[in-house]
Formats: sequence, structure tokens, C-alpha cells
Amino acid sequence: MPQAPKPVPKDYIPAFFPKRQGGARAAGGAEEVRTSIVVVGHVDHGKSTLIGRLLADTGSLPEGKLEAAEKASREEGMPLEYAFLLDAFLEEQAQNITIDTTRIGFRYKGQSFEIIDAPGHREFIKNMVTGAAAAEEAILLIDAHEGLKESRPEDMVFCFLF
Amino acid sequence: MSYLQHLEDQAIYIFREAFANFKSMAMPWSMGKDSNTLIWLAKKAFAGKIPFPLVHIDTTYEFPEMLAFREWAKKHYEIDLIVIVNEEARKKGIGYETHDPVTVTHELKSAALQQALAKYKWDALVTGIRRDEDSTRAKERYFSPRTADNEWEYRDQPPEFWGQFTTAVKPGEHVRVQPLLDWTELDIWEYIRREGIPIPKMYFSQQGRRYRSLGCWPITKSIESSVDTLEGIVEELKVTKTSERAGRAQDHHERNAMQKLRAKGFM
Repeated sequence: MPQAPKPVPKDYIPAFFPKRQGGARAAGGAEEVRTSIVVVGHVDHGKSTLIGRLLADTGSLPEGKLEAAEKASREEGMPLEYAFLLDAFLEEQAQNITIDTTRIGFRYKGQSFEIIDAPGHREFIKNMVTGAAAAEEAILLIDAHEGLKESRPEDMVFCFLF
Repeated sequence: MSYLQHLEDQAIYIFREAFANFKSMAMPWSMGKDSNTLIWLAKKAFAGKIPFPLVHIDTTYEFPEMLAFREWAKKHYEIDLIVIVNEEARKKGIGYETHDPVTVTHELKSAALQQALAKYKWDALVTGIRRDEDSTRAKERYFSPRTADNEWEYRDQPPEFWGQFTTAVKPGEHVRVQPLLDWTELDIWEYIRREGIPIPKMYFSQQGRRYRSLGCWPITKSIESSVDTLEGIVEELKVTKTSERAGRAQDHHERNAMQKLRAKGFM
């Protein structure tokens, strides 16, 4: 146990900042655009892995995040699984499958993006739709070794819909 | 329109959708930066007067400054505040002196909240969680149902799109309404700067250290930082590689600690 913090004076006033000129509708916030991109595709074609790799290679991960994924991968008896950077649930990691959609922000060359990982398994299509509906752009990922799979026309239709 | 304005509009929309759809709701308030942003947004959404009570879950391990902030806010905001404490757990001797942070967090926060839910029968709770805080929060919905046992059925979340939210609840269940999901830590600070929102001074450097995230004092660590202005915080966040909740012991107690905590009702 650390030491208990000191008491504060009775006439306490919090940190307070006068409003900027221009009132409630004043312009603010550096980011004017934030593009949302969803990655869709067949189960096991590597959507989460692609995003995890992208986050790692662009240096977008906070300290310790990759190490935590490494540790989780070891506990599941596999080499570093980049997908674990997004698939946070134990159930997802144990089965190495995405159950629910994840939305994660990252910045690259001064531009902000939101990248959305969508599950590929047909059982979780409602979660895929939830993720896809929030996106403005989509990446359809196809494993070249396996080619186009049966569930992908659905993904494409959903992407056009949204 | 700036992105920050989009976030404000969206949060106000979510607040109003919730208030229009639920019979009785409440808003947990921890006196932290996200919580104070929520108060600000709620006041904007409802013409200055928040039409539901605020709830402070007092773990009895609160920083004295947070309690002082609470008293200040009671005087300066027109709020109806309910303070809850899990007396039963404290009587049993559950505390950070003897128990691990996950157990204590569950007992003094989640279980306390569950007791209040049983008493007040709210069918919606407004929370200030954000996706960028934690990887299980990154999988959340704006309107996220909880069972009668205060549990999150994360394996079977409802679909949510086109502004269509889950508003149907069975007796005993409730929905977590989460207007800040899309906000990042940086957005919160930019908004605090834009609006001039009062916050505790602990976020600013004192003797070379400041807090980035606030919780119970025995398990919350400050970071090394000389930043004592809002501009400084914004600039610091743009380059930092440390995660916001790195100083919160309960998150890192074991692998998937947050999943376990959150499945059982933690926010």
C-alpha cells in the first residue's frame, strides 16, 4: 500500500478555464477529418492480423501492447499473433477467431483514421454489419491461397448498402 | 464542421435518445475528466438542467481532492447526487490492504452499483467509457444491454447501426448508454480546452508528476510530467507512447483482467 494522499484545503476550487471567444459553437479540435475504414473478408483470411500488423508497423501501439499480445500468444501456444492486438476476449484468443467488431483509431503522417475489424465467421454476421455500418470505406481481404469464398458476396452487398 | 463539433452533436443526440426511450435513468459520475465532460454535455442536451440523478460510487479509497471536487460541484452545478458505498463489503474487511485490486474493484465499484440498481431500478445508466481506453471497451455498443445480474453478454451483443439503438429492457435489466465511445483521450482534452470545463487539479503537474487517469488512490499511479497547462497536456498526448490506463493497477493484475471485471458489471 502506498502512503495515503494528503488532505486538501477546505476552500478548494478546481482547475477551471475561461471559455474561448465564440461561445459553444466555437471551432475547436485539430482533426477535421477522420476516415473510418472497415476490413471485411472470409473467416481466417487474416483481417485482424492485417490490422494488427498495420498498427505495429506504423508505430501506433502504446508501450507494452505488443508484449501483452506476445504473452497471450505464448499462453495459447503459438508465435506472436498480431490479431490478438484486436481480439481482446479470451474466447477469441483461445479459438483464434474474431467474435465481435473492434474499432480502433490510429494516426499516420498527420492524418487520423479509424480502422474497424469485422468478424468473418457467418455466425457473427450481426457484428460484422455493426462494424461495417460505421465505415466510410472498406477493404475486402481475400487470401490468395484460398481465393474467393462463399460468404464474401454477402460482405460486398453489405458494403454497398452502407 | 470540426470533428469535435461532430462528437458533441453525436453525444447530445445519444443523451436525448436515451432520455426519450427509458423510464428512469442515472449517470455514474467519478469526478474524472470524462465524467465532467459528460456533465457538460448533459447540461447542453437538456437546456442546463440534467433531468436524472448522478451517482457517485464511493469506494472509500477516493483521493481527498476528488471528494473536494465533488463538494464543489454540488454547490456549483444543479445536480441531484446519490452517493453509494458497498458498506457490506467494507464491513467484511474487503479492501486494498488485504485483497487484490480486481476483487476490490469488483466489490467496491461493480457490486456497489448493482446494489443501487436493485434499489433504484434504473433501466439505463450513462457511462463515460471510451473505445481507446481499453481493448474490450473497443468492442462496445453505444447502447449496451446488461442482464439482471449486471453482467455484460459480450459474446452476443446486439447489432447496432444507422442510429438504431437497443432500448428494450426486461425488468431488472438495464442498458449502458455510452455517449463518449467515439472520443479519444485527446478529443476529451481538446473539448475541455474549448469549453472551459472544470476538472480536478490532479491532472496538472505538481512536483514533477501528474495523473492521466484517476481511480482509487492505493492502485492509481501518477506519471512523470512537468505539464501544467491544457495546451501542454494536448501536446504531450500527441507524442506519448504510454497508454492512458497504464497507471491503473486493476487493469493489469492478470491477463484479461478488464474482460473479467467488465463481464461482471464494471464500466
